[in-house]
Amino acid sequence: MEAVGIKSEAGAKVDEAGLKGVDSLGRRARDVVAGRVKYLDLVAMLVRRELKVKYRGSVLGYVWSMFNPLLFMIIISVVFSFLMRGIENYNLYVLSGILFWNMVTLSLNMGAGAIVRNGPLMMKVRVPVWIFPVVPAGVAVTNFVLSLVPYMVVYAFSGRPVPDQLWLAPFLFALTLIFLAGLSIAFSVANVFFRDVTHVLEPLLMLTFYATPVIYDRKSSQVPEFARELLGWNPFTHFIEAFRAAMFGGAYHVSLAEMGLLVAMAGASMSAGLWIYKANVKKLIFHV
Amino acid sequence: MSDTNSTTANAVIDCRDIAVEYRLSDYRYSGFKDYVMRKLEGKGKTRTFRALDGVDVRLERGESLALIGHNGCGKSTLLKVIAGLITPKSGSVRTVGRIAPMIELGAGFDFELSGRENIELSCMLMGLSRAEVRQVIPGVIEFADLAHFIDSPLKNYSSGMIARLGFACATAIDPDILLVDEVLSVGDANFARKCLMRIESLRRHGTSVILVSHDMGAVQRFCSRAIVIEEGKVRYHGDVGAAIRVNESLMLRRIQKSGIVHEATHPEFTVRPVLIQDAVQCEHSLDVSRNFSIELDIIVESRELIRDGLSFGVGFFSQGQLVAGFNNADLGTPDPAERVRECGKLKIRFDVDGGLPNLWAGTLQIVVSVQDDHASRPLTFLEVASVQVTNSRLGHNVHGYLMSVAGADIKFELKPGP
Repeated sequence: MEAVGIKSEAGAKVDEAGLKGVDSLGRRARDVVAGRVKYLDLVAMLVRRELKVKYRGSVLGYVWSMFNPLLFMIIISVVFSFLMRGIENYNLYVLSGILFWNMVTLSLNMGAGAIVRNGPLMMKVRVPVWIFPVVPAGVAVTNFVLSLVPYMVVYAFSGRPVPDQLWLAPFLFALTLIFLAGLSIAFSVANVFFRDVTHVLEPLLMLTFYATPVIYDRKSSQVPEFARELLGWNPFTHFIEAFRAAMFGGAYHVSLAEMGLLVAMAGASMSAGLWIYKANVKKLIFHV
Repeated sequence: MSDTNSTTANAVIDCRDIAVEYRLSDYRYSGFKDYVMRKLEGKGKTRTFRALDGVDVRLERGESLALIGHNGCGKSTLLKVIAGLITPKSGSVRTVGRIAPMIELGAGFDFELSGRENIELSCMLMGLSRAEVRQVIPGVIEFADLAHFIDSPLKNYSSGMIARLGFACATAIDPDILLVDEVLSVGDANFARKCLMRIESLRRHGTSVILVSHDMGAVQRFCSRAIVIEEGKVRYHGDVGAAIRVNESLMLRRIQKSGIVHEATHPEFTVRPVLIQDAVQCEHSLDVSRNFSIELDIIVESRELIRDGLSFGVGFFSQGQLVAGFNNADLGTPDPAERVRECGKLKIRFDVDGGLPNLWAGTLQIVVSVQDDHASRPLTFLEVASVQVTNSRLGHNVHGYLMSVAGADIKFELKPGP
């Protein structure tokens, strides 16, 4: 993101010999890296900060934050296991779903308010605004990756074989990151103009939870035909089923066509997000 | 670097004909429903406020420029345009090199993170990469003088330490352009001096500096040129001494226009203020080392309009700037709204026992105000007297220094009027 007509020329200053301390260091440092990649460092830094706050900067904090999905897994698997008799290792099935869904809600609920929350900062530091909604997506995906540790522990106890399509996981993480970041950018820009976006999003996500096969299986005989069809229109259904293939394996398999669909959805989400962003970026500062 | 003789080639900032408009909605819609309702009712129109109008700024390498003007004149908006934070409605902005906007010291600091992590965060927010940040960190720690605390979280720092760290970060990125917005007024005098020295050293090495300040002393010492802005327009551009004089005369005109000198009263109130010392009304001089009082005779026309959250205040102005003041809420008296509704006609008296020895000598305008928490501007704002302050233990006023009513024994009294 570049404000209109602002051009930069690195190294426009005379490099005088004899400068000491910060001066010469800074000058040298400036020539090390140029370009936009530097903002990825900032995104990484902000993601680490959020995670640090989330885990309160300690291993114990991390352990505590993992209790939540595990507890949820226990509750759900106890309550629903008699309903979902068709699914083997139902607790693991639920856990994979919950971890995925946590990622979605964390990134979107945090992301939608991101620009408004960082409004005061936008008045003081020139920083590309897209960074703010992208960070929550990064936080959520990283959190998902970190929560694979307890997942793997539960997995090891289940005695299931390693999923055939495990190698897909890195691609799925990348695609989900792009998909969620795109949505996050779109919602956060909309939220600047209509502050109720964040309020509407929360119950909407709760609804979507039930419209996504998180704790049930779309292909189960208990799900009626029309519902199966309907669930196919929910993008999260395709993402979660792909993750199931990579993380749960067994009967779950993701086809090349399905992967193509995920790529298309991630691309569409990011394009939509960036389009909305581009159309409004100059107005944002006056409304936050 | 091959130095071209053309002056434009050397300009690091070249802004032409900048105009910025803010929207002032009568009704700030916050949600989708409100938006639709407004559109349907056709009330969605917004008024605009021209914050900047046809402003040109050019700055050469290593030059220092001051922006001066009254509060809200557009100085900060201009700074934000140059920093690239605000895209102007029209006009062109061209800047060369890296900009360090010092609009607030330590902008973006996270109190949970350590000093070191905050340096990383702050420098990255200003556009440095990780590798670059690693190289500037030692210099920042050294300048901020925080070697012992650098790994403890920022929440344990004093405000002075945070300011030091913020300043060190902003200047460590070795900017080509440094934009300083009034930030040197924080921290102690020692720190301010150190900062100015650092800015001066950067400037000598080629950094161009724009300083926004009300401290005319600093402006005079530090800047080679000044721009006076009033209501979004450039009123003067050139020599610093002349700019300060232009600014002062503009300030006086504003005061006269805004009715600090002429009564600007709310129709509900008729206020007659007097400044009293030794039982006589003073009009020209005030001995601040001894007791004095300010009396207000007030007639309230329609009592039912008086809302809660009413307060009466006294302000001391020096050259158009509020330099000290107090009001009955500061003094801990209960909300007088009830009494005012009861009385209708009343007499209010501020007794300043022992005087205010911490006011600087010089010309002071003493102003009373009647304020209502619910209103954005004072209901009544008028001058009691313009006096020559004598017998101050602080000596003559040095422009730009705040005065203080600290330690004074002030009493507030409200009784029904005659």
